[in-house]
Amino acid sequence: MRTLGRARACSACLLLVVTAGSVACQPRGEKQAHLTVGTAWSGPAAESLHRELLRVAERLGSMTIDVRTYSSYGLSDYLSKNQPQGGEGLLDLVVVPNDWLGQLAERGTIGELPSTRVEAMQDRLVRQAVLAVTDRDKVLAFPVSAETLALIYDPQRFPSPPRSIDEILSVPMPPGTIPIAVNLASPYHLAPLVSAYQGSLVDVDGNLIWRDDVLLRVFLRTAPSWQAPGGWRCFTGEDLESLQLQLYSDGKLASFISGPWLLEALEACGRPFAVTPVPAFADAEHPARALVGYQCVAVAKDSPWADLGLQIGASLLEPDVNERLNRSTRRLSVLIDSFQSQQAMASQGTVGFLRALEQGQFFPAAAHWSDSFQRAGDRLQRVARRPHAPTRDELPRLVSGGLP
Amino acid sequence: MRLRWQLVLSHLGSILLTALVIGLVNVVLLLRGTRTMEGQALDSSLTTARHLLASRLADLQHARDDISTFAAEAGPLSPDIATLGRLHDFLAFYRLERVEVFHGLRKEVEAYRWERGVGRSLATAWLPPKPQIAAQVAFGRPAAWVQKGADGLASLKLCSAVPGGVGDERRWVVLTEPLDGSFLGRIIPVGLVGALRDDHQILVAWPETPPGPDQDIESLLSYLPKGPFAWLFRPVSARRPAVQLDDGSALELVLLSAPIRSGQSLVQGLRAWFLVTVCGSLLALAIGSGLAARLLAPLNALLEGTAAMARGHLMVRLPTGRGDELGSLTREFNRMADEIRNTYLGMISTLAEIVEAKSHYTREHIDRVERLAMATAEVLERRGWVRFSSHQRFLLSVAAILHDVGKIAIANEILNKSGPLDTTEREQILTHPEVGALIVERMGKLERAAEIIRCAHEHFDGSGYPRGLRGEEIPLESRIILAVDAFDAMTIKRPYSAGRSSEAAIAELRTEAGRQFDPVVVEALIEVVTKESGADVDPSSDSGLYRVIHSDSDAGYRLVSAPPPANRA
Repeated sequence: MRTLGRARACSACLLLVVTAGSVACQPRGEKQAHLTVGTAWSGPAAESLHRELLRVAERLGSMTIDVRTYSSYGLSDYLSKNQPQGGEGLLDLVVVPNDWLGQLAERGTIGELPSTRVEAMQDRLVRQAVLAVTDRDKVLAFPVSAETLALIYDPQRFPSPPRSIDEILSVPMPPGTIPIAVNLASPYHLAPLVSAYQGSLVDVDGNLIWRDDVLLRVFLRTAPSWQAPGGWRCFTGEDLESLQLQLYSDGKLASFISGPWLLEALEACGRPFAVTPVPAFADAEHPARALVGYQCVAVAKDSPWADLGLQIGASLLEPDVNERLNRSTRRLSVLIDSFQSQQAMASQGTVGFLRALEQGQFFPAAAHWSDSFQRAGDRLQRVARRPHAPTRDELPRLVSGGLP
Repeated sequence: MRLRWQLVLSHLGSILLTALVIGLVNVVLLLRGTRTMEGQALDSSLTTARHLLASRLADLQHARDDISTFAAEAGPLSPDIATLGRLHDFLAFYRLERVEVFHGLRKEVEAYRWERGVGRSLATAWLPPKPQIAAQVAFGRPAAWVQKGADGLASLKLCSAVPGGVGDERRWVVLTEPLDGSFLGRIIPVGLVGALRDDHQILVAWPETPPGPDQDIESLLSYLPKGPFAWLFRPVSARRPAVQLDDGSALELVLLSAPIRSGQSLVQGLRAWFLVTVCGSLLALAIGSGLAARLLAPLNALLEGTAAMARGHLMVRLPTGRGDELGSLTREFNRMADEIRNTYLGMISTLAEIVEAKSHYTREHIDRVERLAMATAEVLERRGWVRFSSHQRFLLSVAAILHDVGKIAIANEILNKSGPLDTTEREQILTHPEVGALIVERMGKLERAAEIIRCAHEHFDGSGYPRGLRGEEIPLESRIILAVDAFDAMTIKRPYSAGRSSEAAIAELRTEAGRQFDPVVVEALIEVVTKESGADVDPSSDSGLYRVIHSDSDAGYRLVSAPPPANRA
């Protein structure tokens, strides 16, 4: 009996060892986590994002991260048409402007953030940033940086910040110099000028207010600039900011409306520059309030690594990571600490953008806003696509859509 | 430790050692195979990267030709808004970062994108520092070279002469592709680390860029993704010339890959190894245990047989089916057991002869008692009332033969007296069971037989001698011997009694069943003597006191219950 008992004990021990060994030898998590991040950022901004994501990945553990860059239109198109529900090709994380969030949530591409993440975020971010990623009480993404447009001007031509667009247009310029350039194909760029005549761009329901008569008025008031020889190309065309920057650098452009992402290039171009909130027209009833957008990290609802994605999103809001990211991408911080410590004002030109940020109007993350904003952009494209500047007679029909 | 477990453990040990060696070889082969696969995969990635690089260079050459054509058609260019707008259209279309048009050594115009082309160090340092490039450019031939700026940022320059210019009128278009992380990141496949280097140093590395002056490939290892057992393997690396420059040098593309597959293979190999070893060990344990049991069965039988012999079981005999050494050992054991048994039987026989010599009629009586006792025991067994082992049967036989051996100590006058015995004589007669038992006890190993002899005159109702035991207290063998002895005593002539007929003796037995004799034994005995003598006695009739007796040990018997009436028939 004793021998039998010992044999049983040995068998039990062996079985225990087999079970423990099998469990111990099971590969952890079946396979290594691989996350794909989609962004419309490009160049150094995308590089910086990739670098920060690699750092976060290294800290979080065994995973690989792939950053895919798209054009803004390309990313929007991919998310609306090609984003699969799983497997290859799924973008686990997307870095998108906050006005896309509503649409993405409506399509089921992204989901609501867990309440614990939201609470942690509310403690650290400026209130407006959290509101900008909230649609119908659902917080949809992590806002990592803020951006708005301001007037970048040559202090040699304008000793004091221009108080109105009319003042800019009235300053005598040498031949071949354009006083001001605005991207006429982008409602985002035109928004401050439109709001100067119209007031708020958002109604109580969160819809875009975009009136043709106001737009026509803006076009006509800026016509002296875009009707100048060669001026039309400064207002439309591919990669317009590169041309505007170079023209500014060469002294052929006195001012233009652009974002903080150009700061690094402006510092490198060799010409002094200053930044101020976009001024209104002299006869405008309202201040010119630029739209304030937020770059957000949203996690795909169907991602197999959604938890990891949430962790990465939260990691990008850690002070050192966020500061590095925004410094290299020249975007504005969303962290309360950053404003309190004046870190956000560390570089030349940032102050002007921060003032624009304070005066600006943020837009909701609702789907209907994005839709109407996109439609406004499409209509502007009809005007901007023309190879030559339109005449004053053509403008009303172009703006109203009556002229192809 | 028992011999069986020693055998099992030695079996297990050899299996484990074999599994260890095979597993080790297997893991080594698996790792070598995986390493080769990783190398091939990296080669494939390198080829892809080279194709992407070549494709990008082709785009750049196409753009250079296109812009040269534009410059030739437009004539001397000035940096006005229209010209810059046109050049920016080219930049956007071909995804160029910087384009410059030179007239001799003078820059006519340049256009750049704000994201990557704006850096001052990217502006072309005209003329190229290397004489081969300068000569090639001076003769109007397309040229490519790498320029490194003061800030360490390298860029690839592609230059071609604008068609139509001659001598001092010669114009050149120079395209610049910054060799930065953005450039390399588009070429290097996901999950890999890479670098582009010229003959002397790393120009750009991915993902960390720009590289420091002393940066080497090893410094990029920290960017490789970590996998299981990453510390155990060196990363896989591959390098190949990617771009041939016009100064005779070449740009080399270097790729590094984390040995993740090797780590995974090692985990899988170890896992398989572990499972196979454990399962094999369990199997070896089961098979080894079975084999050991089979091998050791004759030894165990010998051990038990020897122990039984030591306890006095003289009838032990082991099966001798095997032809090997164990079979020989068993045969020798049986021979030895036979020798011991024969020695005992010789002693018993001698004692029997002494008893016979003391009383002329006792010899027949002894034979008959022994035969009838054995026959009665057989009937009891057949009826299923009792089960005797061979040793018990042997002891019964010995006891039957020597049941009167105590009479050696009784005077012949008393023993052979034909008249009634007086009290003294009777007391002497009553001592013979005890004396007989003492004699048999001293023979050794026959204690049980001695006890049977001691109780052979005890009556079922407790009226016997020497101890007055009753019923089940009396050994069954003693009860058999008593009945058989009485029957024989009744049927043969003795000095103090005339012989009776079998029928009368049977009747007497039945009369005394339950009093002097065990009724069960009486019935069995009646069956025996009925068959032997052919007496007209109903063998199925009995005293009505049936019992089932089961033996569960050598020491005694246990009554359990009466059988159902149907079994009696």
